[in-house]
Amino acid sequence: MDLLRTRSIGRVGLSARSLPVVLPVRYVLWDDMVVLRAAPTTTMADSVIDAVVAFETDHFDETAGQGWSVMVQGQARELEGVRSLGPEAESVLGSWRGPGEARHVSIPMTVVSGRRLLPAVEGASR
Amino acid sequence: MTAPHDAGPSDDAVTDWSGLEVLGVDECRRLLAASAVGRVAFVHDGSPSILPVNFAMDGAAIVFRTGVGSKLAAAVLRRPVGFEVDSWNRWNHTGWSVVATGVADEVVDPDDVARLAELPVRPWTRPDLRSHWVRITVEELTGRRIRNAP
Repeated sequence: MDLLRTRSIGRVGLSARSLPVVLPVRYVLWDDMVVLRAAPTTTMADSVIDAVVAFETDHFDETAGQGWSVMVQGQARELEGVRSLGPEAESVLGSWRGPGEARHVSIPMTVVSGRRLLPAVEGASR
Repeated sequence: MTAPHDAGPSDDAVTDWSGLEVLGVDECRRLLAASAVGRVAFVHDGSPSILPVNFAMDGAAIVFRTGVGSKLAAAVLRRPVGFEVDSWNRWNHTGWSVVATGVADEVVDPDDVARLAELPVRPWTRPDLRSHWVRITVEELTGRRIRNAP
């Protein structure tokens, strides 16, 4: 959870017509859920809402050869009646452009997994 | 290749409905080739998953290393997968993403394995266990770039 708070861009993975799809998204943590914003009539809104999805964010320092990734899996729901998530969240989500009124999608932290990658040492066992 | 939903305003760059610049296939390939970390999206037991991997391009295919009997290998081999790379500047809200879809298989031809061993793919964890190569044969490649928001 602490690592999730440090990033603002992640990726959503879902199964669309039984094929895996991955899309980058801006997100915030809100009420212990990952919350995304989707334009009203897009693949994102249509495919994500009410589907079981994966959400991933990560940070890698390629020079140092280390980093981490966190994945959240859960059933995405539309946050109905929520027009604003507060100024801090708006500043993160706000510049994602699209026509019409945006919809907010929440992903509960039903299953959270993470891995931290440390510099590899040839032949080492950790 | 997927066409944008509709053409944007007459501009040098093609934009999609939301104003994102639609990247051409050559630009997508260039950005893929310049990236070292991507994310594999797959469906395992009905649940979508996303895992980051170190990868390289072998011609037009995406290749990465994995361990024998790893969960990732079991989940992706001979199955359709998604693959994503991106880069963002959080301060000025610019960035790009490239999304590929294709089918994953294991590289078994010894000549192919020998060639891949020369690629600059260095697994960050347990290189001793990551002796197998997975190849994603790209079937669809799309990309978007976001410039400064108005």
